[in-house]
Amino acid sequence: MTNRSTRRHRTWLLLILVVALVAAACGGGDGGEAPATTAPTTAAPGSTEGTEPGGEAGRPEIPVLRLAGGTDWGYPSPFGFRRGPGYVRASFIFDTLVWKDPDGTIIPWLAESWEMSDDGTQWVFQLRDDVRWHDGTPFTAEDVVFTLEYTRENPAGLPLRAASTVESIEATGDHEVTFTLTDPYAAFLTNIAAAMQIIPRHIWEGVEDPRSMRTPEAVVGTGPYRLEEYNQEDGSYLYVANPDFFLGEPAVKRIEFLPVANELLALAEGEIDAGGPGVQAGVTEDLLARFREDPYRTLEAPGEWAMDLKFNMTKAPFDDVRFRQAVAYAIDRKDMVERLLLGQGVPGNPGWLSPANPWYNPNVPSYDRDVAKAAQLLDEMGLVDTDGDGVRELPDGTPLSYELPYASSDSARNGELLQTYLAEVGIEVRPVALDRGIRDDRASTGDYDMILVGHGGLGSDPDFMRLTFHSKSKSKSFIRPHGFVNEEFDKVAGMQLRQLDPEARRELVWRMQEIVAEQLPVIALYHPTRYWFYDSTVLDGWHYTSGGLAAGIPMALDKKLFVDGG
Amino acid sequence: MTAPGPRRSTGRRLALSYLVTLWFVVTVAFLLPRLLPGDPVQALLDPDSIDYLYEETLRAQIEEHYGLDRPLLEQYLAYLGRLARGDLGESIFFRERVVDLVAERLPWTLLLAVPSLLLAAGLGSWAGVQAGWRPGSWRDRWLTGGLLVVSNLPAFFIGLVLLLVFGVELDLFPTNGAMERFAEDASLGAVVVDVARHLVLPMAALTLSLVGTYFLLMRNGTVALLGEEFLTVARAKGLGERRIKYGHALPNASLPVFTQFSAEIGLAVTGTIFIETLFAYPGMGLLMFEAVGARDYPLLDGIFVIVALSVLVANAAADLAYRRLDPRVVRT
Amino acid sequence: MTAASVPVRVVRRRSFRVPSRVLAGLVIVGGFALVALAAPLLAPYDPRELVAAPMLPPGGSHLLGTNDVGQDIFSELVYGARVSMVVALSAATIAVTVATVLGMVAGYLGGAVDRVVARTIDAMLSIPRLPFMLLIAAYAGGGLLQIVLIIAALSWPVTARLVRSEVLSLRNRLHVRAARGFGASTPYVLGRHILPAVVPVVAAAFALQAGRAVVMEAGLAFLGIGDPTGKSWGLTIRAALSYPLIYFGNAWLWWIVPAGLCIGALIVGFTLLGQGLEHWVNPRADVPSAT
Repeated sequence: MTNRSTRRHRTWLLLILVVALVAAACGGGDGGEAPATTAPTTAAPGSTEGTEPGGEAGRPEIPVLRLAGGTDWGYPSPFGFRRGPGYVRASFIFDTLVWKDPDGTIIPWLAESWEMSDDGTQWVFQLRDDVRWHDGTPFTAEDVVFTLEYTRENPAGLPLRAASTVESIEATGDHEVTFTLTDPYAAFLTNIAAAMQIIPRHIWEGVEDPRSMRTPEAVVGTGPYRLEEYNQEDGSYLYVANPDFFLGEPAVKRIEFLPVANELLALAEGEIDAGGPGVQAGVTEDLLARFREDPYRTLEAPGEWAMDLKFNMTKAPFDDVRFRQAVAYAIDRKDMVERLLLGQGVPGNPGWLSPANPWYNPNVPSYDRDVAKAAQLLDEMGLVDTDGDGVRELPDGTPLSYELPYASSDSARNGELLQTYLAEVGIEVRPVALDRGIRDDRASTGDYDMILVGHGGLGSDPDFMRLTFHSKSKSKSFIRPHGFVNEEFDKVAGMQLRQLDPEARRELVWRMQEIVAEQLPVIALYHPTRYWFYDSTVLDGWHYTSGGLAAGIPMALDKKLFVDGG
Repeated sequence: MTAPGPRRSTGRRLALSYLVTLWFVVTVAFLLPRLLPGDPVQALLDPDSIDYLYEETLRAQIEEHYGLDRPLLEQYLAYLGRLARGDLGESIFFRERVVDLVAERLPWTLLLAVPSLLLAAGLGSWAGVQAGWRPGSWRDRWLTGGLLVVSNLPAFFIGLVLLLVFGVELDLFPTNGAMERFAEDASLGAVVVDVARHLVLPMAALTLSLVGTYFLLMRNGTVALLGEEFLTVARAKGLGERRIKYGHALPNASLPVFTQFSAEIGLAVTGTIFIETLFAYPGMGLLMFEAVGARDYPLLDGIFVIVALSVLVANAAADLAYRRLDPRVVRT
Repeated sequence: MTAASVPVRVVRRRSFRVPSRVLAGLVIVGGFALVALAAPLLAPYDPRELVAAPMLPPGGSHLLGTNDVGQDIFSELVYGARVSMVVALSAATIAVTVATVLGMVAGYLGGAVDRVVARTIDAMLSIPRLPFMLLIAAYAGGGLLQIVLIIAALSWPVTARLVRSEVLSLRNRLHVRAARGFGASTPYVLGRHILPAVVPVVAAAFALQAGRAVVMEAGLAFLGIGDPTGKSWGLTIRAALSYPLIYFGNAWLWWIVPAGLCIGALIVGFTLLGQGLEHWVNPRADVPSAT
């Protein structure tokens, strides 16, 4: 009661503060603060009639959007952040050449238009000429050229995948930039043009060590927000709207990432305005019911994350496809969805890409649980239980008994369930909890028989499959299974990379999934459904971008939504 | 005791032995994280997304930047050199100087740990004398019994119950972090109140989990003293019970308490890890937990060295204070 | 009240109660030991079997309900007694034995030996524990034996330091000096005069260590180290905590609290036992009039 009134009180105070801040921001460039006398002209919260100067007509005004912080994702400069959530936090400040609509369509952003040469090796972008950096300097093609060259020397927070496919980049005009590629690259727009955060040349030129640069200059971008405050120790971030943003002043005036103990609890108690469960969280019906009541809404999307059971195919019996298929038949993936995800998800796609992916192939074998089939395959291989202890043996007498390492940060239940299923067909697994770093290390160096790894990315560009399963891939990711060599896969994977016609590429990508589903170098166990709950009275219109934000970040924190206001 | 030589040489020897310990710890601090399986560069990249896949050149660049590509011995020497200059290096994961990170986190831990320790030692000792002075009395039994139960629960369990009851169910205190962020009232008074409110649950949990040890040590120490000659003498001199209790018994029974305290004050730098993890309190414990997870060599080195130094200093202080505290130690 | 001014009497009367504390400790510890031994008989279900729907509240055939995958929580607790007893007893035995030997030898002999031991203790105490634990766990795995060894390795220095400081103050006492003056050998003095005198400290330490071992096992589990398929109380709490909706509803009342109370009760048992032993072995501490 007192709590609530205090909260309202606070909101009011916050509003005043925001108004003052916005006024201050409007009033001056980077110099002194403007007096807050302009405050009374601002409209009441919730008003849909935008009256602010320079704003897009019809844009609502949302004084503050509170989100869950609590985890540090680094300083939100392109060189300071970590991982997907860190990228998103930097994306409020820094822009890319293009961006994505909710349905995944590439839309103009810093670039107004673009053109690809017929052979697919040249891309020409026409840039907007009305864009200014936060410090007032005009944005030009030179900044784009500089960004690519500089980030090649100094790796950014997210490594620019395939930046090596760019042979050269040139400013062919004040506001025109031309990329020349070594080979046609089907994922160029998503993986480079929509991912590379453009930095101001006049600030970064001459910076020796961009990774530890923490000055206010390091967060001068062209984006809709400026960083007001950041606290590394509790992962709190405060952004305020950039009134001079090239698409007009953003609707959401202030974004706060507040440190909270439990995201869902904080949302239920009104401490934040939107939030979601972790990717591996089992979401109960109770919880869903709670967030279906006003003022809450629920955004639901197929998951792009999977828990993979990975085989080491440099060793027997894992090198035999029949063994891997037997394991797949023995595992009850539907039961795992019921028990681990409480039904909020789908069994893993044997073809690996998740149903969230626009390139997902639904027509692969489903490997529904079939213990008899599994037993038959193992019998066929000559793996039988000769000593009657319930565990089958290899021809040389070694029992099929294996350690199953998993990360202690993941649920122990995965291993427990697999242990139960596989025991039924005479395969013994012993789950071993490892610290995540140790698990990662073993998974990426091949120190395992079978291993559990959970990972995202299955909703992004399908070239991910080539990087993971191609026998000559340079990837050292822990996702990559060891010892998988399939000539047809290598060939098809190489072709899809260069195939610029979407329909022709789809056929190849579907074929890749068929091969993986048949060969099973890994078994995707399940894909948890993504949930995002929000208070629709604060901000409505949340969405997941198909194929993920930028190069495939599966989050709902789309800056375009904050600019448009729903 | 041992060296009958001039006092100065004893001091020098003592200093030397501390130096050897320091070198040992500094070396362990270097080797331990590097022997751990895992890799700081890998930890930088996101295992939950496509960007976990990276290019070799990127890896090489990062390794070169932190000198991870050089032979271990060379790295070790560089590390010793840096330490000698008082430079703890730069965190790979946080991309900040280790000194800055520690300067950010250490005050929070001290704010949490030192009052908790003092409170626990003070309360525990006081209660211990009360209980030990009359072993078997109802006071002894209730204190012993009550503290026995509370302080024997794991710290994180006490914290968890406090968190669930006072934080979640009753919603009386914040359960997360050290202070509210972006509060509109940023006046000093408001901040102090806010920080104090955030401190209540973690400090209560820590104090409760620590107090029993002190109580027990002091109680048993007091009981053991009850028949000592000097107490009899004091009684014979006609000193009051109160005076004997606090003036004679308490100081004499406090040796193990002091030993325990000096052991814990040094470890306080990281000893709060369970509480910090539970309450997301941004102290050294949490920082170390993150550093271990990220295999952040320079940061781990730095934390090791700082903890080691504080422990050594606490030990040295304890060693020096021993003779003063224990009247039974005969000086040679 | 009058008795208060005549401490001798009070204490004498008390000395008959001493075994009762040992008894209380024995009952608790023994009780848990029995539960541990008879776990298959006492537990209604196999704690690993998925016996029912997830997250059932207590009642009916599930005394404490079921956990997030549908295992019986009560059965988990019953089997948890096994893990805790094994860890507590073996870790404390190893740690206290090492500590007593080193502490006595160092404290009594003094000189170079003492310096080496004292510095080793200092060094061990100054190594931050978490990376240390993770390091050993990484190489050794999170099995029961490994957990015991990790805990023992981390526990002995504190006790060794206590024993040493006790011996330091003992070695110059009258009867010890007298014995040495009469030409008694070092082992004789250690065994005859020092050991009995440090036994109370060691006994109390054993109790604390056994209890602490239980706490540390739970702590390791809390941080995610431990045999995942083993069913210890700490791992039960860990599992409950990693259930993302634990803050919603009151499942924590039957999922977390009983496990925590089991941990607490067992430690209380050990401590009572230790305290009782201390008085029993060394009546001197209890009967001041004897001197």
